[in-house]
Amino acid sequence: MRCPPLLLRMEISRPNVKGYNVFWLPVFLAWIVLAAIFLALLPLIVFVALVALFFGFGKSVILFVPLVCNCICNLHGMEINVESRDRIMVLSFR
Amino acid sequence: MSDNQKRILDMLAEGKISADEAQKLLAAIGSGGDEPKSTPPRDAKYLRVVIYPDPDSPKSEDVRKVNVRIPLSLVRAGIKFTSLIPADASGQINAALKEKGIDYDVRNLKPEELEALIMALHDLEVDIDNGKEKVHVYVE
Repeated sequence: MRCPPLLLRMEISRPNVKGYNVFWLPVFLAWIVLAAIFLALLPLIVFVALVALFFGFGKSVILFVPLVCNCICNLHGMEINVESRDRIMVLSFR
Repeated sequence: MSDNQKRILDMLAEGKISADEAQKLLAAIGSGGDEPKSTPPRDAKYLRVVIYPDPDSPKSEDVRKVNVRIPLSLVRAGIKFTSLIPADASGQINAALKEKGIDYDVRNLKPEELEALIMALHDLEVDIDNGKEKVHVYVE
């Protein structure tokens, strides 16, 4: 499994104006918080998954967390560039 | 036609070799000879979605230009979510696909079909023009 992106680069500039502001946001902090929440809720998730198995959708509950982790780990290289009349914003996961 | 192929055909015309021998020689040349090999699949990594204002539209100044680069690995990971689609929702999707002439169950998407789907994206290029803005989707 790949390492999740650690930083989010946010670049804000204005059209036809030299210079731009760059912010490096530490998204790895969000992953740490999410991991802590996941660990705290793990007993509940396991219980819900066991109960859900009797109702036929236990597989969905069990698979949801690894699939979300897989998506987060593959965010590397994702880039969003929005350009309006007065502002240009670029977000990219590093 | 390459020189080797011409030489074999000349030898066949002169009666130096039989038709079977000529066929074998031509096949041997074709498998490893001077013919250009087929191009390998492109190493595409990203799905690009670009939305830009239509320059001919009077409202084009109100439209923001958006350029999104999505890693294909994320697309691959996202498609795996199809296994979590509830049965009733997948039934609606299947019905919509059937309306378009595609008889397929989205819940039965296998890993090898997933790879084929990603490979098919390499040849994808979609242009949408609604009069106000244009959308261009392609793989790079």
